[in-house]
Amino acid sequence: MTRYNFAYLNEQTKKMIRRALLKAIAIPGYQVPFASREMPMPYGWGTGGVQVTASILTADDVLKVIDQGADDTTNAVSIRKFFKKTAEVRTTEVTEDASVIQTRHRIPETPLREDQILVYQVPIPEPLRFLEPRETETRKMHAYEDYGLMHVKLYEDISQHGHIATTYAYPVSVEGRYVMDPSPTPKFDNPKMNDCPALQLFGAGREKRIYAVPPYTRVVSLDFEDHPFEVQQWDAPCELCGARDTFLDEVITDDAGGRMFVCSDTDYCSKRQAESEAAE
Amino acid sequence: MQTIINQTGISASTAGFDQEALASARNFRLIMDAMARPGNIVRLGLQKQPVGKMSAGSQMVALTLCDHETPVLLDTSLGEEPVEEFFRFHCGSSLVDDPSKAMFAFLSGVPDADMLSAFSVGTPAYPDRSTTLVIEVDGFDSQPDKGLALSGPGIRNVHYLQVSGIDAHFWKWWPGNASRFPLGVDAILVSDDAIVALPRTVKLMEIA
Repeated sequence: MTRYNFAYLNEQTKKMIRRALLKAIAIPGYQVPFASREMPMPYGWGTGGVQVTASILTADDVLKVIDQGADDTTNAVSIRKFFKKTAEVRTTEVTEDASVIQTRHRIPETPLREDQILVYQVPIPEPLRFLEPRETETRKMHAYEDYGLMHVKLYEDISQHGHIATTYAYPVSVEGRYVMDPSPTPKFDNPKMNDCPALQLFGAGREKRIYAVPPYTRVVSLDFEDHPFEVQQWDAPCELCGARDTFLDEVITDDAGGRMFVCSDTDYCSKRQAESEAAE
Repeated sequence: MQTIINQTGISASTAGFDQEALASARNFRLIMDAMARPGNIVRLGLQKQPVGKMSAGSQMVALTLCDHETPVLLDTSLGEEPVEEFFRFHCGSSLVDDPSKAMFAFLSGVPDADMLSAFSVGTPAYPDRSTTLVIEVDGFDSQPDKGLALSGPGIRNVHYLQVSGIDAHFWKWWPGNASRFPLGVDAILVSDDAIVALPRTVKLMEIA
């Protein structure tokens, strides 16, 4: 630790963020305002998640960073490098080996454990924002548990498209009280948030909000009795590892309309490929 | 309590953290783990001498979380010179007498019902603007089917907890606190260097 304070942020900033994190855990799903700092990366590149990670990281942690499920994309690589440099923590691409996982919009396919923490980068933490632009009003709606508008939005999906067409940032109800934006994860991942053994923390840097889902907490995707919540399904398995139960990305392979579907979770996919090679 | 006057003339009644950044990070992770898993007995581990009546655990909570932005209330038994000096010197916190103004209250025991109900529970718009109580107790145990059965977020099924040296009226008061969710105060019970956190979401059942 020569040129930076441990994990970049100064101690007073970390104290402030840590207090916000404790309140967020005590009030699951409620967005705690915090004095978000300027970070050496632009808003939209995970400044909220980075500040949360910096405030919870200890010297013994092993950090994994994923961007749309992948460990090797720009955002993931640069954040991993950032903490390697400023906190000198060990890093990994293997979900099982990580104690802290910072993620942009995916939950790993490998089930998480009690001794792991998942940190989400959140662009817009307010699930009601596109329905009601005024913060003064959305704050009241949360206070009065007035979530009718969200159900109207989902209903309008059904009346227009015949089904709920929201596929990411699909709103959830946390422990039967706060409606929460699970960050723009595909709705495929929503069921993994429910009763999860790992602590889930959410940081929104530009919007200056922190929220949390404690372990073993009820997280229910909003739906209707006659239009129950459903996750995406694919017609074909992953072309690389053959998994049928994972979230698949469409990859364009040439300029003649060629495409393939592969797991978005690169660690899970490469592990499955290695296993099947070993079995042969 | 012996006060040491060092050569700079600053009376450092006790040490703060060695290597603040690393120690506070480690302590915070343990405190956060306690808050995320209510009822779990978490040992903070560092050996520190008590300051006045403030245990090592309470000191570490204060060093990790309190600063000039957090008004602190000390009860009359804790509010002696060495403890006040600890907060002024290490945390820079202002010390307040009005429970509703305190972000943290460090208490040598459970205060009376009037004071318990005077702490800030936050507002419907900002339920996070509430007091966190840090209460000294004698000890913890977690024998199955005894004492208190805790449930709620952070707890898989049920967690059993026994707390010694705590006034029974705290447990009578707690369900009222929890029933106001999302308003309410959160508590951290401390014995020596061990802590147990009780966020406002915790539901309690007393077992005979």
